[in-house]
Order: sequence, then C-alpha cells, then structure tokens
Amino acid sequence: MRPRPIVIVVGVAALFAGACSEPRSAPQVHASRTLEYQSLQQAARDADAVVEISVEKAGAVETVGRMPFTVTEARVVDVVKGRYDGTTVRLRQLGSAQGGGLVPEGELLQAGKRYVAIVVPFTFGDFRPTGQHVVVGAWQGLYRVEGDELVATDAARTALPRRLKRSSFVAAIAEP
Amino acid sequence: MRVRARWVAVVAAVALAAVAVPDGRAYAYLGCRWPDEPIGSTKLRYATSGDADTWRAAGQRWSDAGANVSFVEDPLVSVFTASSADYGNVSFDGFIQYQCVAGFFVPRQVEVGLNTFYTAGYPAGMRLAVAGHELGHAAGLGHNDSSECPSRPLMHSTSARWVQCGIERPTGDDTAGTRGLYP
Repeated sequence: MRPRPIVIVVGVAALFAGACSEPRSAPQVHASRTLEYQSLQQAARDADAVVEISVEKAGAVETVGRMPFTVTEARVVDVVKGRYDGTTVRLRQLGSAQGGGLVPEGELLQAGKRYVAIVVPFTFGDFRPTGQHVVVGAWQGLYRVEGDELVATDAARTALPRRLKRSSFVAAIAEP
Repeated sequence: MRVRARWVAVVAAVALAAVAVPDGRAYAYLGCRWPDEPIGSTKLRYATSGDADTWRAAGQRWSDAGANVSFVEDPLVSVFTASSADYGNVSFDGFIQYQCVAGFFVPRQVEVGLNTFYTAGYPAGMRLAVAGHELGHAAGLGHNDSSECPSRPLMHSTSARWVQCGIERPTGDDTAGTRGLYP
C-alpha cells in the first residue's frame, strides 16, 4: 500500500522540526561570593559548629523568586568543633539537581555520602530562626569524606586545601 | 539552512574561545553571549524589579567604559531581568541565572540579581560593584581571579574586588573581554 501524500508531508515536517530544534541547556547559576576565606581556621572561626554529616536521602527544592535552593536533611554523626544541639541538620544550598539551576562552582549534598560542614544558622534579613543551616564561604565550608581524607566540594581554586587528612583538618581548625 | 546556521554558530563560538587575548589583557567567558546587532554597539535591554537606580548606574558605567556593549532599561522589549531580593545569608551577594543554546543566551531566560541580605547594608560603591559585576555576566563574561590590586577586574569572583581594591567600575580587562565578544 502506498502512503498517502499527507502522511509524507507530516513525516517530513516532523523530521525537520526535530533536526532544527536546539536542545536547551539546563538553567545555570553563577554566584558571586561575599568573601573568600584564606584558611580553614578563619572559616571555622566564623562558624557556629563544624559537623560531620551523613546524607541518607536527596534534598527538597525551595525557590526564592526563580532562584532554586536545595534543602537536605542529614544525620549528624560527629561534632568536630563548636556546639551543635540536635541529631540532624537541614542544610540549605544554592542550586537544584531537578529541572535545572545547576551551579558549576559547587556540589549539592548527595545521598549515601558523608561530608564535613562548617555551618552557621540560615536566616533571611529579618533574622528569624528558620531551622536550617548554611555552610560558610559558599562551597568553601563543605568537604566530602573519602576514607580518612576530606575532599573540597568547591570547584573554584581558593586558598583552602583541595584534599587533606581528617586529622590535618581538625588540627587546622583548632584555635591557636 | 537552520542546521547550517547552527554549525556556523558553533564554529564561531569555538574560534572566539581560541582567540588570543589582545594586549595581554585577561578575561574569561561564560561560554554564552548575545547575537550581534546589525548596526553599532550591542544594546542589551533589561527590565528591573528592585534597586533600579543601582542597576541603571552600574549599566551607565559599562557604557562609559568603551565596552562595545551598553545596557538600556526597557521593560517592553527586555531580553533579561535585573532584580534584587533577600536570599538570606547564603554567602553570595549577586548572581546570574541563565539558559544558553548553541553559545547564545535565551532571551527572557536570563536574570541577574542582588542579594539584599548583604547589599542593603553595603556602601553605595560596593553595591554598584556587585551590580556592575552581574551585568558583566549578563554580557557573557565569566569570573576572572587572575590579578591582584590595583588591576583586579570587576569580574573578580568576590566582593574583595571592592573591599580590598576599591574596584567599582569596569577595568581594562573587563572591557577587553566585552570587546572580544562584541567587536
């Protein structure tokens, strides 16, 4: 059976539409930092606590305007420095792994991984408590645990170490 | 025809990235830019939602700097939005959010913003520096942390550009970057 002309026209049109449509990249976010820490000690001094956390499930996305943030609840497995009351922390990070809002400069917390986070309570300008925390220095204050080493999640080259032993990290954030 | 145009755009983008930096200037690109306008320098039209005076003043500094790109407030035919809002103490004071197709920004899918949690308390010059920095992103420039004071560019990635160096307007590195994008 010969195909009807209308089928051929629609088919060719669909082929052209497919060839001409450009795949849109996911929305990207570039953030400009307020400051850059020159040492781990300096970062820890600005924080309320340094905690080791275990991430068990992916975070949820909250938006402010069109800007996506991911809030991830993680279990606190150790308080490395300072005081932290509670067994979990809700960490707020810029960006989203769902539907765009990718941030090339940093890493969103991933389920099944452990991190050491240098944190302060998160607040908006009204300074009311939110029950969330953020890491200091954008992504400078977040290290991924790999064995007995800590690996920086910050993609930017800064003065902070890219990879170091956990014992070196603890020594570095100690007060003189 | 469209497929051919796409390849031309891709080849042009690769060639642009490979162009040697003129007169020793340093800059970096986001990998996304606006199409050329037919005549004259590129005018980027934007709409504001908040801090309009700051965005206007920061845009004027780009126009005055001989950057081959200027910013015009025009909500009717805007291609991007310049906004401000309280995002909290998240360690960033400005941002760009954008979509890019084949090396070009998608109109109306680009937003630059100020985080008023910080910028509301900044001195005027420091706030202008953040706004000017974000407009540099809206033109297609990336972060450039290659220089120390006093030649640190406006596109330095942190507000140390102003705190340490007093930079609050586009420098030679920044305008060399935009002239490379919009010759």
